[in-house]
Amino acid sequence: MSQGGFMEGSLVILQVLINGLLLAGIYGVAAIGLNLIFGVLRVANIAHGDFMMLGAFIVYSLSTLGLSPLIGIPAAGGILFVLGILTERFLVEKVVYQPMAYSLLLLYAVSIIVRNAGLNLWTSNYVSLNIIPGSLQIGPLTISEIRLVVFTIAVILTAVFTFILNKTTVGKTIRASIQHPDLAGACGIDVRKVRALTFGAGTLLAGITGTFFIMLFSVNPEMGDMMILKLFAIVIVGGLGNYLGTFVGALVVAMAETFTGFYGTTQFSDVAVFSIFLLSLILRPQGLLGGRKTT
Amino acid sequence: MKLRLGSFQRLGLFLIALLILALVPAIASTYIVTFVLTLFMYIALAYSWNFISGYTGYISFGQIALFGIGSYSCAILIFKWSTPWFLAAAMGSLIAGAFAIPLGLIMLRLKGPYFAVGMMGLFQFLAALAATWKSLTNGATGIYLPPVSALAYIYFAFLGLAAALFLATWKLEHSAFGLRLRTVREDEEGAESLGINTTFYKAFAFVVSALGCGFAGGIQVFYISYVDPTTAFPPVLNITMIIMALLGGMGTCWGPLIGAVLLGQISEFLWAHFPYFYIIIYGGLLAFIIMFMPSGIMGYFHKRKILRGGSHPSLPLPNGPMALKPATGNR
Repeated sequence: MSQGGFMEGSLVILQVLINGLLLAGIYGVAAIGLNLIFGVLRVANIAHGDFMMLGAFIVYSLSTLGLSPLIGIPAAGGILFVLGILTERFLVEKVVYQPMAYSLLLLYAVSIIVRNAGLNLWTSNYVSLNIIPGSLQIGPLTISEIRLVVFTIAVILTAVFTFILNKTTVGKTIRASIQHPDLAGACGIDVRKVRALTFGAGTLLAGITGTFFIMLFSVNPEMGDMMILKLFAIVIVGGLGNYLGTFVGALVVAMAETFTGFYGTTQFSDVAVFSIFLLSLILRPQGLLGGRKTT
Repeated sequence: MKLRLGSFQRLGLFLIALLILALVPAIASTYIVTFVLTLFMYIALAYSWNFISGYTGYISFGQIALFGIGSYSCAILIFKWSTPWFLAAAMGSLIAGAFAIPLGLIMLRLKGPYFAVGMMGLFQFLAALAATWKSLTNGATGIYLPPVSALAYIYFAFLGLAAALFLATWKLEHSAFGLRLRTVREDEEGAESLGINTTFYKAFAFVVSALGCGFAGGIQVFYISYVDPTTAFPPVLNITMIIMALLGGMGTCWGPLIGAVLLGQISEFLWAHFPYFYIIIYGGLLAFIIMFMPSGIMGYFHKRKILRGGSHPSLPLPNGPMALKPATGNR
């Protein structure tokens, strides 16, 4: 292989690596939400992907009404936050002390309702929101501007969330509820309230990630199907309840997806995600970093 | 209310019921026959789901994946080698069953929500595969088969399948084998410590479920004489079979039958009156069942002591494999 060919090859790999990194930042936001909900409620939110879809299509609907995504994204986040709190208070809260099959089936019902409501409202056509079509040229590398913008928002959001979780009283109550719910309750923390708040925050993160998705790719109301598998793969690779691990997981899944998507087809990358999901569950069910580290 | 029958009388009753049902195509209108045969398919699928999820407690959100494998196997056998349809459906069932052996051994290692999500992923993955593997499945265009000549044969096939699955469940309910299977649901680790090979029992239930789903898929393909990724992996049917088994009471012998017959009627009504919203109503119904009657109609009967002895509904819902234990647990 000539020197030029080698250079070109490594440039391509660098390009794919950057794309993978940008995608990982976005996946990370939704996965944190899923992980937090699991940590506090001990509930696997199988409807997380559908909440993402809802966020995406709320922004889409608002933009067809002429509102800019700058207003749309916070609006979608707010609506999803309220919806999450309502879902927790009136549905999940009732079965939170039951075996996991209850909450799993209940959230499956929520997922069915949300998805089919979405299909009724927005049909099954693929749509996207093209707000910043340009791309940035850094040396020989091409990075689409919207990916960069979205990635920046995702990083800021993650940082804010990490700060809230680690440095504020609300965050402290959430962490206490994860570590020992009974003791947290005995110390005067209203664990019920924390649960509702966490579920709301989780769906908020899901919704905002959804708004990123509709700006980057074309999506339809059935997007939750594939998303939920990816999110679970991320959370499992990182270890359930492991906050830091979520980012490792997001990186692994996003890289696998971008590389297989680049060298193969989209279906190929779906296979890769599914394989990661199965392999990590069978080989390292405790996650790459292991254990339950809540912060 | 006490009703006790000997096993001989039970068998007689069962055969009489089968005979009466077998006479339906001779006397009823085409609409009724179509409706009842769809009902039999629902019953067969609800029993198939009940086998794995009701008895072992492994909640599967993608058992329809095996229905799809059966559908495609049957369609390809008919299309490429012009196999007689019933043989093709049986082969489809066997192929789904054979596929389920390695699949079950892998998937059933997953616990808690992972199994559920994993099966859901498998279902998505296979549907995507069917759409892309054009040389085998003809992609999204689908495979067209010769149209059905006699509805009665399809009716008999579905009736036979539903009856066979009912009998298998009945046998499971009244045998030591079934008891050992149910220990997986109650306490898998405890069962293992008593020397029960839980892997074998789980895999067995999974394979029987696959055989049922695959057969139903095979018959259905011939019935509608067409297959594409959406008809082979129908998401609505996936939801329906779960709700039917839950409505009747999962992990019981009669539950899936009651649930399928009841929801079959309701769905016919909903489908006609709310064509766009009926799946949303299904979701609401599922939520209602989980919150207010988790052990289904059979659970209600059992609580009111209308039914004594015999099949215990899984009260209230399986705990075993779904009780996820954290890796380093201090809850």
